[in-house]
Amino acid sequence: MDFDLTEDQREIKTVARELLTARSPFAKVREAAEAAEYDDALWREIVGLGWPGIAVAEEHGGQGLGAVELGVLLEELGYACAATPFLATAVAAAVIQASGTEEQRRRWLPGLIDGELRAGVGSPEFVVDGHGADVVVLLEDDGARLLAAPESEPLVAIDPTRRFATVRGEGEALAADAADRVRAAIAAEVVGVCQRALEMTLEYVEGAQAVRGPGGILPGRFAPLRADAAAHRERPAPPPTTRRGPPTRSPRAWARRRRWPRRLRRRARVRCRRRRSRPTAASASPGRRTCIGCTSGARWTARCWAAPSATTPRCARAAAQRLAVSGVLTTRRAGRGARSVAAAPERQGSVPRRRTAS
Amino acid sequence: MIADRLGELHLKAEILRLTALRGLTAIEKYGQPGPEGSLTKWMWSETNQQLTQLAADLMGPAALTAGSRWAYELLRARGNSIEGGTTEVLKNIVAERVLGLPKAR
Repeated sequence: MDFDLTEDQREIKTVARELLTARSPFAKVREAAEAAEYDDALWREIVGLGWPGIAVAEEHGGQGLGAVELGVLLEELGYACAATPFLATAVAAAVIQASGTEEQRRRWLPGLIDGELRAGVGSPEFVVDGHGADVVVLLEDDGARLLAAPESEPLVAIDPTRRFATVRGEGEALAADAADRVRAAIAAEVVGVCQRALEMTLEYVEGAQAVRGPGGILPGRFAPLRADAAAHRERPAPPPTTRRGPPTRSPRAWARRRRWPRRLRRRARVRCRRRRSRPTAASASPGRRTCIGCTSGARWTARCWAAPSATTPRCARAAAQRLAVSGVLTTRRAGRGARSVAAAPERQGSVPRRRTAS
Repeated sequence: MIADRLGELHLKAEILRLTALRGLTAIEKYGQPGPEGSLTKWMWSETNQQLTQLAADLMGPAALTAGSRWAYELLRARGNSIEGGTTEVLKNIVAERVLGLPKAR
């Protein structure tokens, strides 16, 4: 069984997405919402394209397609958050087509499709576009009713892109499946809205991640709130010197610390230079760093950057001790350091020790 | 209260069914399942846990007596979010493959 959209349905979706992206960007939606009006130009265009009659038979002036195509359009209108009376109009038309009598169809469908009649859809206390509507499809616990120009009262609700009202009246009962059709159509629109919300959240998270750096947000724990929190937690990175620059403590003080935090060890560079003498004022001054692993930094005054890690059990001091004969150890990585420790004596013999670390 | 929970579970089971059918459609059409499968498994384990919890709540202490089928189901369901890809792993897959977020590490 094929649960995918057909070629034609996909085409409808693409066309709708392109049109709405061009005609109804968020700036437009916001404009309409703030003015508490529908986007009339867009609505006229949609009516001109015959969208409201998508699920209406051709004999009544519609496109002769079905509920799935209506759902596809609604999804796209939801995705765009377009400020039009499409939901109520098209859904009312589709319901009258599918669940109404022949007389009801003749009476309402042409006007709805042309955008001349206005329709409302909803429950008695919450009808979309209910105020002043010519026809209202009302959902109740036991089915749906069709009301012609019912009594209504405007209602202010949270969605500023459309109008709401409470509606009273008797009306004619619709077939049993009418309520389900309305609910499915509304659900389709909500799917579109959710899809957009998700995409916007992802964009936002990626932006926040780019600012914050990898690991700033764990995707597995991803939640909009988390992203929000991360973005609000944004603050300038500490100056590099406080983290990886030379310590301000004396070599002796550093030497007393046997282990550095893993964070520092990980970006370790080994740069040892053996000295025979005790530290001079210069070598012991702040800004010089001894080998992290050393407990005798004073003795070696090795100018080390970094150190022991899981892969290099030897600390730089041990390396320096092994190099005692040859004098110089200059490596960038602890791993390679271990190799050059072995190679150095043969290669260098008792060559003078002074070699600048690279 | 109970009716709400039952209704919600019915809804979730139905969503699972349809999502699974969509997954099957993808396999039929393109020959291989998409990463959405991890979404299904994640949803399923949570739904099953809620379902067995509801059963246990309905039956009261009787659900926990030895030999009760629901006692087994209730305890067994706890493993659902660990076996066959833990929920944490599935969330990572969903984040990286479905949502296209950058890798965690």
